[in-house]
Amino acid sequence: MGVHRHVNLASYALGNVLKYRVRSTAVIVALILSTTLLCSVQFIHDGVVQDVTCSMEEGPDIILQQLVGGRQVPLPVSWCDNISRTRGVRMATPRVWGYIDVGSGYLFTVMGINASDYGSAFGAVGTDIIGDGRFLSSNDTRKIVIGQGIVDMMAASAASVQIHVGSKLSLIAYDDQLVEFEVVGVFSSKSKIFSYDLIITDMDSARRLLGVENGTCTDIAVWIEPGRDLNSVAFRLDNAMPEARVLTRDALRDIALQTYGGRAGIIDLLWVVLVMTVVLLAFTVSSAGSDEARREVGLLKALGFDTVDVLEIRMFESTVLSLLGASLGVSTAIVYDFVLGAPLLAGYLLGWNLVLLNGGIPLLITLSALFMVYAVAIVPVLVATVVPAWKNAIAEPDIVLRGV
Amino acid sequence: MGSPREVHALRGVSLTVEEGIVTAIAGPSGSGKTTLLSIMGLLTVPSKGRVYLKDQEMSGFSEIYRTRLRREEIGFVFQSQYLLPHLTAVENVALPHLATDISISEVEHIARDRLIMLGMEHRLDFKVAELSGGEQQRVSIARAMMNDPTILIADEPSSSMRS
Repeated sequence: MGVHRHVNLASYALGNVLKYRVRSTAVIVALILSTTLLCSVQFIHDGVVQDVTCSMEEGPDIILQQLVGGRQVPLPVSWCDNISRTRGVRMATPRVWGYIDVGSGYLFTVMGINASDYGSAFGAVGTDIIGDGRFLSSNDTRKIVIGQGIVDMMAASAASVQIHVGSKLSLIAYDDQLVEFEVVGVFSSKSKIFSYDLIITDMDSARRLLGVENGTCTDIAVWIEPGRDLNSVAFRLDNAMPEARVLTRDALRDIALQTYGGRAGIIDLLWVVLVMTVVLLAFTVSSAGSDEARREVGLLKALGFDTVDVLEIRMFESTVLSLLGASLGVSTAIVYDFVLGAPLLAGYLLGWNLVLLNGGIPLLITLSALFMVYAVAIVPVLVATVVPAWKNAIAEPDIVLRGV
Repeated sequence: MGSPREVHALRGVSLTVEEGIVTAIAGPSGSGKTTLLSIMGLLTVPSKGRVYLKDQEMSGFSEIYRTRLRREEIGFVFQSQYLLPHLTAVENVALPHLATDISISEVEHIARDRLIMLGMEHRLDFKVAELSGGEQQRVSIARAMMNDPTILIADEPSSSMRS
């Protein structure tokens, strides 16, 4: 079969798409609406999953907290000794953390750490210092390391505050007193949650800011020895310290995803409804019930078109409609998410957590998501148009033409 | 004998059409003329009996082969014309050749020639709905002649034309 034949059939199919404007427009609009919603949700979901995954990779293997009456309370730093002696534990270090207001309406997370311990944890958030800065050292006081995202955000703010190594930054403590810190380093992180939110300082400074008593900490971060089974170590810790809540990295990831992605399921349901609508729409406006379309197939067969030719025409028609509708839907979703910041949708999906995302909603476009979108847009429409056309194409032309 | 709804459109028909001869089939309405022509044009398969084209018996051949014969050897003018309303006169006439390996520009050139032969030079790019009954019939005839058929079958070709 030569090239001209395929070009002729494609030209005829394209002509059908252009001539049946109302039908084509209806299918395209329905596809745009459904794929825009699907992509918008998917980009946010994938972005959140990636961000959470990155934040977990830069965090400890296990976290220990103390719960009293179901509420998290400070726990004794002395627990670290017990934890460090547990088989499989490489390092256990206390952390003091909480939220502070820098006076510009932004809430940041301050985390106080033991610099010598924490600095030895390979890949831990905050240790990847950019440029000429450095990480905290064990004798640092009132020194901080901040995320690159915070630097960018401050520079982009209305006051245009330029922060660099050596800058002085005053933070508002729990008692409304200002405490001045010096920036000694800026760190990079793959996670927006960290980069735009995290300020790391020494333990004593964090206690001063957050009003945490000496000898206590917010939680204990644990790194296990290489090659150890994470769940086994967690189990041992849980047995050894029944008063503690032991959270592994996987559990933390699930909690974080539930926090940020809890409402995505409702949107998925809506998407299913919309796809069904698209399929029904494609079916009703396609060859299925239309006498005119059925006679067209009968005529083409009578004039010498093979069944394969007829199917090629219908496939081309539906593929053009689907590709156009899906592409416009993807483009609209990109503008809606990346340019406009997904108004209404982000708030619905992320809830109050949106307030805590200083750097805006994390977004990600993956090939698998695009493939899924195009597959869902193309396949149902293809089936809805090609199957009826095939039924008519295999019947005798005379019967089809007469509409018997 | 058959079921109450079964219709014997043709019974005991035997017809030979010689090459180069124009054969007219006349009969009252409902006598089976269109059915006979459909069988001769390989648009439908008879319940019983045989069809020969150039001494070749057609009943044993596949639908794919019969489709090829319709495309290459047979031109059919339908009683109801069956023109596609969303296409122009030229586009309707060009239809049979779209399923061949001839370029679309050449196909349209041939189609225009056929229509001009039938006096349609001023109506080439008009949509079917904008043509009179007689003009539509001429489009239908031009379409049937596109593939230079070995056999041209016309079912009431002049019903819409002035006498």
